[in-house]
Amino acid sequence: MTENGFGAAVRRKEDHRFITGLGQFVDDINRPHQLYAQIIRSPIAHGKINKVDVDAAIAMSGVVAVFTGADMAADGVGGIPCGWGITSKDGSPMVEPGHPPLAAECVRYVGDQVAVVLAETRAIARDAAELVDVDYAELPSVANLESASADGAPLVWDDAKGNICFDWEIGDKSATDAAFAGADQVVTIDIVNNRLIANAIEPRAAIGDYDAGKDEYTLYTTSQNPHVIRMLMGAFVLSIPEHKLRVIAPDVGGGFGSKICHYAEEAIVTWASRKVNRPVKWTADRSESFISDAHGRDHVSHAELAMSKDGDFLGLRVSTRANLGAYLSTFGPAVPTILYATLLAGSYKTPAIHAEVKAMFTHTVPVDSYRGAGRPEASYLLERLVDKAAKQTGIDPIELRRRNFIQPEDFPYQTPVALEYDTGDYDAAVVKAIELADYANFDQRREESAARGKLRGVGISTYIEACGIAPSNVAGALGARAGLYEVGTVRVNPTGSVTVLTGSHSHGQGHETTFAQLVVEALGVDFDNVDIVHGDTGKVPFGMGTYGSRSAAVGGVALMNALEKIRTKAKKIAAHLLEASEDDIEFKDGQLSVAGTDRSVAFGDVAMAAYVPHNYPLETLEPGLEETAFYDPKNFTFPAGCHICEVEVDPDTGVVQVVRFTAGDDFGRIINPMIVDGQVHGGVTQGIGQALYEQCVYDDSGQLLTGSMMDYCLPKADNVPNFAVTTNVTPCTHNVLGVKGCGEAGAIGSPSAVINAVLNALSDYNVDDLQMPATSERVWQAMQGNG
Amino acid sequence: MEIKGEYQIRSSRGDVWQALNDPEMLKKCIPGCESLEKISDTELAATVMASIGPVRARFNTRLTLENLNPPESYTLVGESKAGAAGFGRGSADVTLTENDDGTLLSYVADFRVGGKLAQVGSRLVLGATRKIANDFFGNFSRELDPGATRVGADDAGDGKVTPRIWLAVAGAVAVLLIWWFLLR
Repeated sequence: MTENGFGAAVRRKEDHRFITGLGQFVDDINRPHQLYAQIIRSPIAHGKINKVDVDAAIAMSGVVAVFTGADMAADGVGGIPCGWGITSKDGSPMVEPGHPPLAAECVRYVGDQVAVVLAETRAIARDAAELVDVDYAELPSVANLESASADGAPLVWDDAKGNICFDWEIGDKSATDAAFAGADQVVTIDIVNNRLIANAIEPRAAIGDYDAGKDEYTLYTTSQNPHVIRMLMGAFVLSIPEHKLRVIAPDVGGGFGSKICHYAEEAIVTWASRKVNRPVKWTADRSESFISDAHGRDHVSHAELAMSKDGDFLGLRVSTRANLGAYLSTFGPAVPTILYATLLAGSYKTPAIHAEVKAMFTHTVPVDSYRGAGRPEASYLLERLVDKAAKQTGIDPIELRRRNFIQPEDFPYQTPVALEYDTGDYDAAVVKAIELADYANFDQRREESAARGKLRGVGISTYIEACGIAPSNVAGALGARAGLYEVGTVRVNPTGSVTVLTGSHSHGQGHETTFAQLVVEALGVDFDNVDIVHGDTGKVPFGMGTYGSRSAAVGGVALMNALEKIRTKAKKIAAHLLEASEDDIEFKDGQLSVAGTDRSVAFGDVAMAAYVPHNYPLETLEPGLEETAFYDPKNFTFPAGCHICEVEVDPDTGVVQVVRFTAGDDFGRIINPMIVDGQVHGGVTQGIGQALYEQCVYDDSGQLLTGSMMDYCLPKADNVPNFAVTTNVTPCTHNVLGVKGCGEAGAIGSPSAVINAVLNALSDYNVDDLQMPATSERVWQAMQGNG
Repeated sequence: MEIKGEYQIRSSRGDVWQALNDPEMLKKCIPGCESLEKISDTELAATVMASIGPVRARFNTRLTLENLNPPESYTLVGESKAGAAGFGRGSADVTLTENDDGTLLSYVADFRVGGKLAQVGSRLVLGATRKIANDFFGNFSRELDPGATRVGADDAGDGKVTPRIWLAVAGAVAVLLIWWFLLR
């Protein structure tokens, strides 16, 4: 291993500026003469806008303008587009309603944007917003899947009968029916996957900055994918061509999927900046984040597993209703379909699977990706179901899983739900995890807990996920409206330092470190002589951004391919300088040498020769040393693993404490094990949050009741144990790095392990159903038989 | 959300009814009331400064009296707006019953809040509303009957409800209060 190269636990370069307060987040940026925007949002879930009276606000000193939906419509501003189209069973396209950045006629959730005040200071903008008087005719609303599905339910969109956006299916229904007909036993389960709010530490923010001299726009925004925002906002909403629109996503403080989407505020500040010919800045406060950031999850499912008498899985049938909120967010329709139902095979060789998904509109915040996006929902359903099957059949839960695992010799393995897994060794992960978890001695720990009056339980999950989304042609066939490749440019500067321009975006992932490690490995340059540039469409040629654990597996490979081009060209230059054949040049540790001789030239000298080409093969080679690669993967990657959770339940109060948590993961080859550990820790913590604490609640009239940290419970440091983390490695077979991705695994594998552990702890109480979050009240009620 | 309460007032039912319909009396008794005017026999407009937890705001409230059945009962319907901070609306059925100790005022109020008030204050609304209601009835009882003393517990107790003596009077008001709060 090269020092600071591939596989080294290098400390994160970017942390110096983050922990010393020197990061540059959107709200740290101020443009000369900028105005501050305050958005007026709907206080009701559904209503017709009769009148928006802005006179008093405009009259206020310091207010520059107030704009409404009518103003934007009059300017021909388009609707916010959806990035993924889904086709229903009957061949009809999904219902795709218009989504104006400012609602002009009707509001459809509490938080829907109605008007914007622009003022000289943030305080004036807020005060003026109080003076904007919106007269609504309130209409009946549906706040959850249950009420949206009811007969005669109020409609979110007239076109969406029964509030159904699409009714989709995957898998072979008749084969599945046949499997059930021939089954010896069937296990069923009803699952609610609780709605979550991402709560990135940095609230969203945006600055629109119009340059009248050049007729150019710059948008600074808290995004995971600035090029995608440029494409969506430029082409669909504001009709600004790419060369006149620059989107910058500087340091971003966490995304978790909630910063993938193109949001109305981005279009509002960009458009408004031109209207008033001044920069316009908007920064959400935490309250605003709760009612305007895309929410996550929110599924209700029924599932059935058909088994032989020996516990072999024969068929799986799943029926899911998914809440999309009031409008279609950027990836909203993809989450409960392509990213969910295709993962229902899990790590098992269930031969027949059929899933149907009904996606519904409700008068709530739009729902989109949240760490894992679809895959946690699939994994949770499956692993709860398998545990229930173990209980019902009396087969040990680990043994039952092993019996049904896809075996190493089965790869590549075609699942009944579209995916082809390239590689894996699921049993190896289990072996590593149960050893690290000291699973064999659990009974001893249970007795020890019992001596202290606590109920101890252990739960397991064996998850799989599809990451590194994706091959563009496959994604396109599945409804994606954009490509899903990635782009990397390697610019070797004349003195041999390296600037990398990547289309991936780091908002916590540590790319400035891991991508630099790839450069160190490939070119042998000093770690400190590598700079990773990302998040600026004015600098980076192109990119699709970071989500779906795709940075290393797609962006990293694009970078590797560009590095390979640099290596090839460097060898040609070195061959000229050393008067040798290109084939005889070896490139190692930053030196290019003629094989079998002591003649060599340093990489830095090669770079200098490329930019000062006095002695250079100009007739056959261009000067300069800069290469770009676009990389489109052949397949998804398939990280998998085994999570084991131990909990203690206080029988008097129902309080659950996670006391041990072990993750054995297969992420393929690992660039930086320290960063991978950190990703697992964060993901598992969010998974524990979903399992035990977090729950987004609307009341019947569509008011968000969990609208602040007082009522929305995030996991805290004392809610999680020290994690035990290990990995086994089966390299991805179709990318040169052999990497699979690790960003979401923790949140995907852990919720079912936690709930399975709680149910195990309650095994004396005859509780076989418990929904997330397993709050103390829910657990206690279940113990009283009120589950 | 629903709240209800009962207050025993040592005044005649007629006097209580009169007081409930006297804008000056109401204004004196509603905590934080900045203005209260009678728009018609059945309509009142009030401006109330109130706070719920971290939210302090001015609530513009409009009340309508319905189902008037003097001096026994009426329904108070109200709506408060507090601009961007949200709204509150609801109604209260108020009943006056004569008894040996004077008049028993009971009310059942149903209300809801929306916008930021619901988002950050929903957990605080009920408690704050009860307090406002109690403050109002306390003030109201003392105005009507300076010698009144408070006895018993309110309805939120253990199910054994003893009316409070000096808490007495207008559920409606409670509703108001609620709203203004809410309504901020």
